[in-house]
Amino acid sequence: MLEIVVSPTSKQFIDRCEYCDAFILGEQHFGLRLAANFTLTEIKEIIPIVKKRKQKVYIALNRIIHEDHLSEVDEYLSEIRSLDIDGIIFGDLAVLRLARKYNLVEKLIYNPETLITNYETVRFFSNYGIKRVCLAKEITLDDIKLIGSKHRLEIEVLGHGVMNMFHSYRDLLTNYYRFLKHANLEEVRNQELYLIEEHRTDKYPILEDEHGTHVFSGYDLCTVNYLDDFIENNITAIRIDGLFKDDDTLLEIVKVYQKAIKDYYDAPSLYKSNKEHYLNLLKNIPRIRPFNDGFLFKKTIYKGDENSGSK
Amino acid sequence: MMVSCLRKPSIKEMKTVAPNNLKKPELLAPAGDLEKLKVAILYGADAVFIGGKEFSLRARASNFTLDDIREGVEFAHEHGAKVYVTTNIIAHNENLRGLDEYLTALDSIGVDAIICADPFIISTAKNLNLNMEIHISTQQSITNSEAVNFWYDFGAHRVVLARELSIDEIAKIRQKTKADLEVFIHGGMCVSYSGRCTLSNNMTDRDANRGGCAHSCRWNYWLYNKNNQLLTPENSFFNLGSKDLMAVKYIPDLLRAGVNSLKIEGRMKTIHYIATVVSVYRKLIDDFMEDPEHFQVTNFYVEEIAKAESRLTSTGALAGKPTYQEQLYNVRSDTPTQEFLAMVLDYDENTQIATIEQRNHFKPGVEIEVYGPKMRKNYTIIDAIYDESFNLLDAARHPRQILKIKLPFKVEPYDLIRKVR
Repeated sequence: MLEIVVSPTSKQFIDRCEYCDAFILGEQHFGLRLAANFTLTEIKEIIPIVKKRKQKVYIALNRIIHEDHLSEVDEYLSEIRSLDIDGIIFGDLAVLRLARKYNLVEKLIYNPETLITNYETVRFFSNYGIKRVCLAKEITLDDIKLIGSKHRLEIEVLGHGVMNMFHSYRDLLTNYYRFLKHANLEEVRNQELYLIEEHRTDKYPILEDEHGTHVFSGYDLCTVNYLDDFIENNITAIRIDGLFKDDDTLLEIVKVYQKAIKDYYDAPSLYKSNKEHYLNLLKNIPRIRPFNDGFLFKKTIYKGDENSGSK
Repeated sequence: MMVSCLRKPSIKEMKTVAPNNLKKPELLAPAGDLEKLKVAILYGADAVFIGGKEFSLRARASNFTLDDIREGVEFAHEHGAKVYVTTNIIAHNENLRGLDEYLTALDSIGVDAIICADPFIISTAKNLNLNMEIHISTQQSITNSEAVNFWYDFGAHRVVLARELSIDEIAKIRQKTKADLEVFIHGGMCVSYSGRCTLSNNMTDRDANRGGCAHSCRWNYWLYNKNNQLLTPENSFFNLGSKDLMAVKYIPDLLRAGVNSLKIEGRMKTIHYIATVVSVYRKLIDDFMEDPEHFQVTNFYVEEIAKAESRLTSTGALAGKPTYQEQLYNVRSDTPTQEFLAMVLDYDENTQIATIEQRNHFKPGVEIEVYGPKMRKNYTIIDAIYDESFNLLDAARHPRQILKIKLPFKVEPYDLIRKVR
């Protein structure tokens, strides 16, 4: 079964969400762009609840690690190793080395956001014995299918949610407010703000937190019409990201995907005939962010291509 | 040009290399074409990095054919310098073909290393058992010693560290790895962790990680809060972009920290820029190595670089997390300096006539500095300008026109002529 992985918006959401297969839980200090913060104590409380419902737990440990943070990452790994968890999501290769001494390598899920874009890279990481890789969001559906069809190891893609497109080490909003000599820095730090480029209309969410500054796409990615392509090409999991969503909105989104996947396994023809219906269900969810196909059908321009304008 | 205020790192906390164990680091310069490659090496670079037509970022600066690369390698090796070729794209499925042949060709030409970021390219290079070294590009954004050692253990010789690191962090990493460490010291900065930015993909469909970066971080933005209130003042956009890096003041610290290679960025830059920046850092490194214990960085080096640098500079993250002073706000674009007038092609000692190639408009009466490797400088006033057939001209108007001028001192090919400010 195509697995639905959800990054939850709150503890209450988790209590209500029986419709997914796995949750991403993490502390904002160790995980990037999380929709909610869960301390280790809270994670320990949540694990038995979701395990009873046969759902899995993946710990978010995907921060970019500067030298001074290595020891606390090491410590965190040693603490979570005794927990009943099913995966550890990482984005910095340091974790792959640190996890060896705790025998956690087979639980590792590598999500470097932008860097897994071809099937040979997937093979490279399969040689390290990790559990799963997450593909970059910037490749096409054909690329995803080709990578999946080589089925080297578990593969996860973004199913629905905001696409991060920029991560700076710098506190760009605080810096800007300091530049303006603006006193109220709280107005920009850890706030949901957005940018509009002077010649464009898209609204790009921007978020400054302890890891620096993140900028996101104006539209959520929606893949509800391509789940058959995923399933038929050995994609293991889709991730539904709770960032910039409230509990209700996220829950309704997850339900639509769960129904679509269930329909497919009941009969692929049922799923295929219902595609318009799923889209309508999503469109009718109150407060849902605008969504589109992302890069699934939009091949980005390689510098060597004709008409790239960059020659 | 502005040098932002310097916040020195806490050097006393740094574990550093003892003065008598200091090794002279490599000065690594960019070369966008063969002429720039030669200039960079003549002006003191120990190594240059260039882009081939395939697998390389910086599309417009990646135009070296295999024949060009061969010529570049021959020139470099004759001068005791090295050539690194960037194969630093993050490859998509359709980019995988032809890599074996390409890498094998580079290796047989005698290229000294490839700079790469994609695990497929890295592992292919390793599996081919080439003589070339494998250098891990800054596109992997490596910020800690474990990640450095991941690649070192895999077979990489060198890691180009992320531009987010302070000198303290670099020094700590140095203590924990045997890998060669390369650090950026000058030039344009990604404000995002390199390799983790897809602004360009999202906003222009151009793949930032495959040579198409549109520099969307340097564009102008309005900033709003959740309630759609504009937070940007009317006269001031919000910007993400960073000032360029200039690490002049930190070179001694970087050398004491044990960095193996100091990298200048800018394959798109002019030969004037390359020659100036390279020779200043060359002199700075040499001056420091002569007497590490008493060496002081003076303003001389900064002033020399300013002769070719037209962009605002800062010290990046070397002194810690960048503040607003390292950011670029409301700067439309950089204006290239007009001081670079011509390059010397030849000199006849008997007649004292120099054959030169025009690069910017000038007229008789202009006071010039003729600038050569090792910061050799001579000054004069041009009294007359002739074309190739010795017809007297009232001005040097045409780009790249071959001209003749009289110079009362000996000059060499690749010497640069610039206006005295």
